[in-house]
Amino acid sequence: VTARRVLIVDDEDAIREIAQLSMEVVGGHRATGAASGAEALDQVLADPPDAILMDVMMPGLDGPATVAALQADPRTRGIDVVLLTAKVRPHDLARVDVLPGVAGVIAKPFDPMLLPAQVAEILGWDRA
Amino acid sequence: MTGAGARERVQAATDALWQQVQRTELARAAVISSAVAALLEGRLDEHHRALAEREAHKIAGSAGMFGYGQASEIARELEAILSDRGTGRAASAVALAEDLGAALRAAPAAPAVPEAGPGEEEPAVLILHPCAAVSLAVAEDLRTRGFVPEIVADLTAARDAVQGGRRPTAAVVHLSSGPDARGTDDLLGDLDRLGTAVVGLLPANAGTASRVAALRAGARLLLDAPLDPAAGAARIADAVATLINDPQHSVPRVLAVDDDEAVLQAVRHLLGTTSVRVETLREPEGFWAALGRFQPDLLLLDVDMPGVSGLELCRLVRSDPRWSQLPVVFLSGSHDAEAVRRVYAAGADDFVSKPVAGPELQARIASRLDRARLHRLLAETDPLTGLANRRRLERDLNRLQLLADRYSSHLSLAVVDGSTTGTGTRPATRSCAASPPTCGRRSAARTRSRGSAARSSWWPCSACAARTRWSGSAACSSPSAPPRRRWAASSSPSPRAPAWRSTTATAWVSRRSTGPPTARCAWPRRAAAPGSCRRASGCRATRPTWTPPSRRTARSSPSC
Repeated sequence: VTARRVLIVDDEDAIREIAQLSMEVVGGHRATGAASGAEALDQVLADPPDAILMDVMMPGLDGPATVAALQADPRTRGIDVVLLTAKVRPHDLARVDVLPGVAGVIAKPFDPMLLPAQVAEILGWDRA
Repeated sequence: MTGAGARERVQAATDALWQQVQRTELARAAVISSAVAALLEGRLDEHHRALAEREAHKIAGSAGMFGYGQASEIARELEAILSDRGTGRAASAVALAEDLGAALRAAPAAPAVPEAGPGEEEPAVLILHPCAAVSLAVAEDLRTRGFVPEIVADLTAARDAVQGGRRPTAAVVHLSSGPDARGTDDLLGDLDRLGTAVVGLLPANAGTASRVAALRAGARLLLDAPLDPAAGAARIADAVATLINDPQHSVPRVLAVDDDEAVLQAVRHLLGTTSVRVETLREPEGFWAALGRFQPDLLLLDVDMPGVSGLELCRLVRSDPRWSQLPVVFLSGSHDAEAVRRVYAAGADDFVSKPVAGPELQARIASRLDRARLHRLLAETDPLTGLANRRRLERDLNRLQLLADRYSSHLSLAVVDGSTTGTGTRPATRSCAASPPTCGRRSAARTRSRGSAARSSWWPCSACAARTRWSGSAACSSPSAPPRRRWAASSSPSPRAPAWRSTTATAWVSRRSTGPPTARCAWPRRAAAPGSCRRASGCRATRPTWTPPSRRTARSSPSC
């Protein structure tokens, strides 16, 4: 498995920490964290990751708005984004799944042992 | 890494994290619980509905990660019910809310809730009131002030919580005179033994006997039980905040730094008998972090330590505006005049020679703490009116803004002139409250300018304030203006306020001003000359200039 660099964006520290740990320990990737959309944008510009795992509901700049900002910048347009959301009813998913730049959606709560596999499946890392 | 090893590591980390997260989740469950109770009675307002829905959403998204899948499922169902505003399912929602609390507590071999030392975490406040609307309003108000409210349903639940090892920093208890009076007294006794500061709510017609009885049982402050939840909540929360923040009511903290463990032990022993909380540190390297974490009221330093000396630590403390007023007492083995001079030159307040004599150390520390308390009181209170001053306002506002950001709600500031409005409830500025802000989702640049620029230098101009969702503007007093102004940071939902205003009321602060305009204006004139606000290029967060009264109306809130 190739180690990838993953940025995890969530305003809840506990979730961010677990996702980071899961991606590093279980998935063998390198993970960094950001607590808000604005912080994520700064980090992405400073050091572009291979993929971003992002919460949808965040104070200030929320998930979709951050994705839109990433899409607006040619330097960050190519980065894959996977959204994490606890809103998993079909009409909620339909709102975020179709956004340009969103590769897929993972439902919260996620299982830390399975998260890396889910991400890899969405982004086709296994096949690469 | 092997699969098994990875599993173990992740498991250990989630278990450790759950110890912290459980508290938050239980507090959220309590909010939901009160909201569905109100829903059942058909008096759940939109504000609390949205709040409870958000809390349910948070639990749904996080509990399952820690192995509490059932709690997540229940929370998801509650979220759906709250989001549909369905009163038809209110009865099942009440049952679900009970299940949620139970599911979150059903920890496999984990201790109920870890004991919280005061100050290391946000202080917990227990709320026991028969009226759900009052409980909810008080809880919401306390939350915006940085406390963790926990609503308990009845006396039994309250006693269970206390006897189950919970140690709330404060409690709001409705003192009933009915058949429960005996039980209430027992609860107050339990809380008193735990060192919990209790605010007792009595009927307004309660006589001397019941008031004395309440104080005897352990209440520290007595208030009249509120008739109107909204107005009463702010008053109760004020009282709680006073009890918790007032050094008279809280245990002072002393941080002692010495490389000699024996001295630290002696200090712990000597001060352990007084009502002082002591934290000791052997490695000066960890000093700065310990200072921020422990937030001491007094510092006890050894002069000679390897690496960084006590004198250097003292200079370090004095070099930071946040700590420059912190009392520093030195311990030293040498008594010669030169050593003493150096200690005072470094900024020390007092000097105690080793070997340390118990009563002397206790007395010196007590006197330093007393003086520091007086200092702070003078620094943050206006001597004439006895109300809090601008310094206090700035500190509180900073804290409130951080909180508003954290809970993703709006903070608005209204400046109210107490002398013209009488009761002081009508905002003096025509603020942007009437114009709904742009949706946060599409306001990337604005949100950022609010987060960075506005926070560091306080005020965007009124035009920019409108765009950055600061509904309110800073006004300066004019030469002929009445001397007294009241400042209120408030955004409790009012009939006129649009639904997006969701934070609650906070402290009332007042300041007096005297002297000519430039001296009396709280906002320096250096800011921007009229017209220099760069509206086109975004907020530069300049402070508003003083405007003569004759021109003020014309220039106020040009964009709103």
